[in-house]
Amino acid sequence: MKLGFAFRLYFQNLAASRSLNILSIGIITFAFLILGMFMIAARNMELVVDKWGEQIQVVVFLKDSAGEADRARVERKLAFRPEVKKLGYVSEAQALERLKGMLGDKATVLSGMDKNPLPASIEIQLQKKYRNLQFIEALAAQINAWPEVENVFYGQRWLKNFLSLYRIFKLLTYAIGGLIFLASGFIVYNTVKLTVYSRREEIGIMKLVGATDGFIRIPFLLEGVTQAVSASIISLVLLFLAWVIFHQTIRIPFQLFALGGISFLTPGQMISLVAAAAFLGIMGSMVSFQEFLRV
Amino acid sequence: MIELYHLTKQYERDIVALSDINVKIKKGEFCYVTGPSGAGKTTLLKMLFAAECPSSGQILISGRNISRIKPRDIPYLRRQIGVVFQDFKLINHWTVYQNVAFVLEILGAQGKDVRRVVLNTLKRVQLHHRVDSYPQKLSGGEQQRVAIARALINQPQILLADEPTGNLDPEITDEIMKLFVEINDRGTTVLFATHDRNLIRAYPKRIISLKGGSLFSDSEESSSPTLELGKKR
Repeated sequence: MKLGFAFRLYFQNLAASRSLNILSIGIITFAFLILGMFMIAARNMELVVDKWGEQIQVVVFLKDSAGEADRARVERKLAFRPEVKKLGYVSEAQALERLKGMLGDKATVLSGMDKNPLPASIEIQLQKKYRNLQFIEALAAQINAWPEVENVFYGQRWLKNFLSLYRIFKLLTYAIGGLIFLASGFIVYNTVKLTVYSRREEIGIMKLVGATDGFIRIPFLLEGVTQAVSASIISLVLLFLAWVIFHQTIRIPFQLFALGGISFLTPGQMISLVAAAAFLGIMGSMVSFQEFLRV
Repeated sequence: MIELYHLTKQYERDIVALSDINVKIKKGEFCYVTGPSGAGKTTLLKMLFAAECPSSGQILISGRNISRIKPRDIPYLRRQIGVVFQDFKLINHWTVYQNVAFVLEILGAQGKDVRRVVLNTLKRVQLHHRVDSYPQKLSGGEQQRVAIARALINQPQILLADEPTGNLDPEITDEIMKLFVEINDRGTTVLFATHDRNLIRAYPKRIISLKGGSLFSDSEESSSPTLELGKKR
């Protein structure tokens, strides 16, 4: 089939049913606005949760007898491990200062002590993919066996609660996201079907004069994809404008979430949204088209 | 050219649209298919261009059995058969030219050739001055001539017409009929479904009469064209 002819048919169709196309794009835009809003909400919640996740750390307490050389050896051994993101040494004096800071006015209770009881420690921040309970437990057990180490602490209870909460959050995101995606897909399918339905007679006539299904299908596929892709781009532009206005006019204490502000979608997510639109447009026209081919 | 053997079409258990039709139509013949509404005229024509498939029996077109034609082969069969309908079946947002040229575009004909052949065919049906008009701007007779041009452009060996004058007034009917006769004179086999007895009288040809889905009479077998069905009514 000549592709040029398919494109000519496609442009003829667009011109012939401009209002129907605008209506379809409008409906699909709404569907993608909802999907896009959910994606922004999910992304920001994930950023918040990730921020909290950064607080997951393993604290290695060194033995009182451990000297400078021991500490340097432990740090070196840790620094070579792929799971370690950042290391921080906290001396006995620094630990005491932190405790005083945390006690505030009540720090005077410490003044009676003639010796600093706090041990020196090394704080380990883990790479994101290693922040799971099984791994942290195994790592803690390994480090604990080192001769220079007195004890390893990783906030076992907090960590367990946090990680199960994180799992629920992830699961909910996928479930709700999946449902919204399905609903959007259904809307796109039905809207594209509307266009094909309005042309069912035309499809019938083309078939009666000997056009193959493939010949007829291409302009309709192009129409479905154009509708869905342009709707997704319009929804992204609208969301971006809303995001800019929101940032300029409303001030929310975002520091509550330890974030600078609400983030927009990443370029990857935007491309995924447009790609998903193209996919839904193709599927929508393919499936609905099949129904009207039986002539 | 067209051979039907024990052709039967049954929709549900009780609805028989055609029953045991046996007919042979020679190459270059002009043949009316007549009968009252519901006699099976349209069903018969639909089976010839594979819009319906028979429940039993055989259809041979130019020796090729199309009774169990595969869906992917149907477009190629339709390219060899011109079909004209009562309601014209034109695409309203296409011009006269585009409606007719589409058939050649399907075949992958080149732009220059398409233009030449389309204009010649439109000249043949006396519509060359309306190439850029849209069907809704044309009279019923003109729309039917566009449909005939579309059916003819591919020079088919067979032309099927399903009540093509059903929506037209007597004067226009006569014009269209003359066109069909001229097409037949040039060698195209024409199968013309109608229940217009005046038309059959005015242009006597072979008559295949259907009644209740069965073959009621065939003027070929009774040596001269008759209107038996009309007489009985």
